[in-house]
Amino acid sequence: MGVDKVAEENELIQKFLRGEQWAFDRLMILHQKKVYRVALGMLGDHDEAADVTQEAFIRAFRSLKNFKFGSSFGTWLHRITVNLCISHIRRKKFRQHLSLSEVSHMLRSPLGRPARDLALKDLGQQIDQAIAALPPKQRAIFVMHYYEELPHKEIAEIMNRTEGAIKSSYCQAVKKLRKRLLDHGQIES
Amino acid sequence: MAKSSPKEVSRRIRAHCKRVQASLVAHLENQLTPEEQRRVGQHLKVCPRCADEKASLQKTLNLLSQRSFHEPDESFWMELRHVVRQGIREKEGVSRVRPPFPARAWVPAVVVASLLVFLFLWWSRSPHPPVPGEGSLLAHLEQEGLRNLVQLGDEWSSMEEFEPAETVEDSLVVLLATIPRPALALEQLLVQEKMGEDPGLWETVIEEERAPESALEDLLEDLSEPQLMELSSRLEKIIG
Repeated sequence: MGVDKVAEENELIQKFLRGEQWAFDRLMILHQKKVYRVALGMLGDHDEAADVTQEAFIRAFRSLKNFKFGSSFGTWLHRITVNLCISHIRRKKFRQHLSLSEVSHMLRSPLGRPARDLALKDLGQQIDQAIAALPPKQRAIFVMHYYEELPHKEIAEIMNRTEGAIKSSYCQAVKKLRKRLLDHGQIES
Repeated sequence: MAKSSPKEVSRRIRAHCKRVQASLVAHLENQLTPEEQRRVGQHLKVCPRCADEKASLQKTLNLLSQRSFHEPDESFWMELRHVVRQGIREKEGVSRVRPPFPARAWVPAVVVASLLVFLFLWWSRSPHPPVPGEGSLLAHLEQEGLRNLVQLGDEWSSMEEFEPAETVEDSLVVLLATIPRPALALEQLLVQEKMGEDPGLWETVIEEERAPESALEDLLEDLSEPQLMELSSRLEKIIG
């Protein structure tokens, strides 16, 4: 992130702490899309991502008085978002990979070949499912680096881990995704 | 100088391939130093197996880029900010209301509730074989005794949070929760015998173990399925 951008954000935070509430609105406008995209990448659902995004900003508002300026506001906000997403994922019950309607459709198929029906699912759904199958923190690391193009160093700061651990986790995530897409015939072995 | 044996040469080549394959994703994303990029590139020219691995990972990354993202329109963002402001006002309104009971009244209530839970567990024990995990929890409670009922209550409620294990990782987390000092047991296992194909990963895991904020789940996330299963069977031997 550019030095100017960080300086602008720090100034907005200072104004907010002096009681200028409009400054927080400005911070929201600067970061809302990134926060939403990370939440959507991790949760795969628009409504859930919207809920988490709202909650992230509410928490940020309430905790901003404790912001220490050690990291950038964006990094701090990402940390809140990722933690909320991880809590959300872990609270949810285990989801079936196939909905009931899909199961009954497969049973009625005259060809009796469920694998063929699975193959007809579009690529986007396959990718979503593959990413959703990653463990929560690994999913966060993958989404933030691959889709949001955050450097490993910044992700390490967000996740409070070493850069080496982040790189390793990212590599593992890509290999797990490959295996999953291979199993669903999206990649030839 | 003595020539290396074919076995030694083969071992070195395999070790080199492992290092290269561990850095292929970074190589594909141009994340290595120029010297590392050059070395990996040279290896790929002469090693068909690593070249195939690179091609496979490249296909995966290309495929993942096809995930579509439709950005919501401006009305969504305006509504989002409106809901956030509303949420902030609501929470500020709630925080001004005094709680009906002072906090210190809850502590003896929690202690009494934990004692009742513990007594219920003792009373409801039956001669049938324990459900997987339940016997270990009871043994753990017996070992801890009555010294800290509040802590036991917390442990019980945290055990209840575990859904029936869906994956090897889930069952491993449950298993680790039943032994005292699970982080130490894990580190000893990892240090004693380096399992799996990526020693660098294990060193990273051990390094993470020493960071105070790391949770066991963080460490387990980075392990592959065969590594998790191996770790699970070794821990089961420890627990007996």
